Amino acid sequence: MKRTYVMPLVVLTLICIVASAALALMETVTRPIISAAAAEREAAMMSEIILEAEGFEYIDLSGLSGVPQTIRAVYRTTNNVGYIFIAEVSGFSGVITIICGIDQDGQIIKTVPLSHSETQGIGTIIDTPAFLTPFQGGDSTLEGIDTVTGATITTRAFINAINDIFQALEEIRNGA
Amino acid sequence: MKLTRKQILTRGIIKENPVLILVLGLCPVLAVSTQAGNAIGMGLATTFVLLGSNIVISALRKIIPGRTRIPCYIVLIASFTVLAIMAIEAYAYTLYQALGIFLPLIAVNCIIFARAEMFASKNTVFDSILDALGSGVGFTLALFVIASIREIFGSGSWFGYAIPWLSENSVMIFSLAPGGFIVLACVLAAVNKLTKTYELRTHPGCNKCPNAGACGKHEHAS
Repeated sequence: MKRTYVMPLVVLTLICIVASAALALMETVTRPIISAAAAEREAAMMSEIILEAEGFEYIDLSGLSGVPQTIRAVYRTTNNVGYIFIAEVSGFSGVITIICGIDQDGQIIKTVPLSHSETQGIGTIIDTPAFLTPFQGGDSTLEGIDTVTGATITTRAFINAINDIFQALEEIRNGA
Repeated sequence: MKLTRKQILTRGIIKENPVLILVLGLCPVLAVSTQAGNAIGMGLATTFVLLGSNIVISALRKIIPGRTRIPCYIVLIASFTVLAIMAIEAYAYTLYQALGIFLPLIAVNCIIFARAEMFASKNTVFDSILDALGSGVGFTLALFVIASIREIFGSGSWFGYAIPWLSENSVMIFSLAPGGFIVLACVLAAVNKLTKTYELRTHPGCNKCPNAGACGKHEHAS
């Protein structure tokens, strides 16, 4: 009688242990490849945003309380051209990751979505130059930039991210 | 009814196609079928998980206790899914991005669970490998057909290559969720017509049922 309770437990536990070991092994193999590729993608993206940048240094945001939660990372160019912001906001379906370069005068150099899972054909408008070009040269007032009918939620999320980025810029300048 | 090895391998492709005949695993079929390339990737990833789980479950079928078989299967299937995810993220990042949330959801794909419960738990390792390959290819094929139709008409391209005229006159609904349902329904209807599965509705009976082999109750009904 006792066996009917013990055996299933033993087998299930053993399966879990073996499965975890296999996953841990795979993790050690793939983790370096995945993180190296991610860092490479981010670095390539950053130098594409600010062409004049010679290098980037990471800005620690932990001391700045007023930086919006959506800001994931901020970098400063080593030759004082400007800043790179990476922000994550909720779009229509899932997270939209946005990268944005801002120069020393507080004007947007360039901004593009890094990744998103918005509706094909509707939310994907944020990938188009028609939506992105008006941001270039814009300042914190975001004049002449509006949501796009039909893709209101996606475009509003994008614009909110840019607003958060300007707020973070303000904080960093006051803090520095 | 004892199946030959060839039947085990080939029945999953058309005769018992998991999507088009058994109508399983529709969530990934509807979600990932907007582009033919993604469909192939999803199909291969699912086939890998199916193959791995079928091999291990059939090898352990005498050890896994009947009462806790479901948690055992879930742990095994989920582990293979995570293995596949890590490999895809490391070596095929664009595919990883395109498939998104549907990659982890392979763990709860009912085709894999159905093959584990209906076949791998009762058959030898070699037969289970054939069964997994058949079902995997069938799933990939169904996904590929639906995705091709949706990509050609919805985006005016095929495997990312633009098709003249269609790319300027794309019908966006094919790319959206309703289009997925409509295309799936049309493909199901066509397959039903061609394979005469519709006879099931008018002449029910175990002989014509694609699930008869796995259900094992066919000798009781007439």
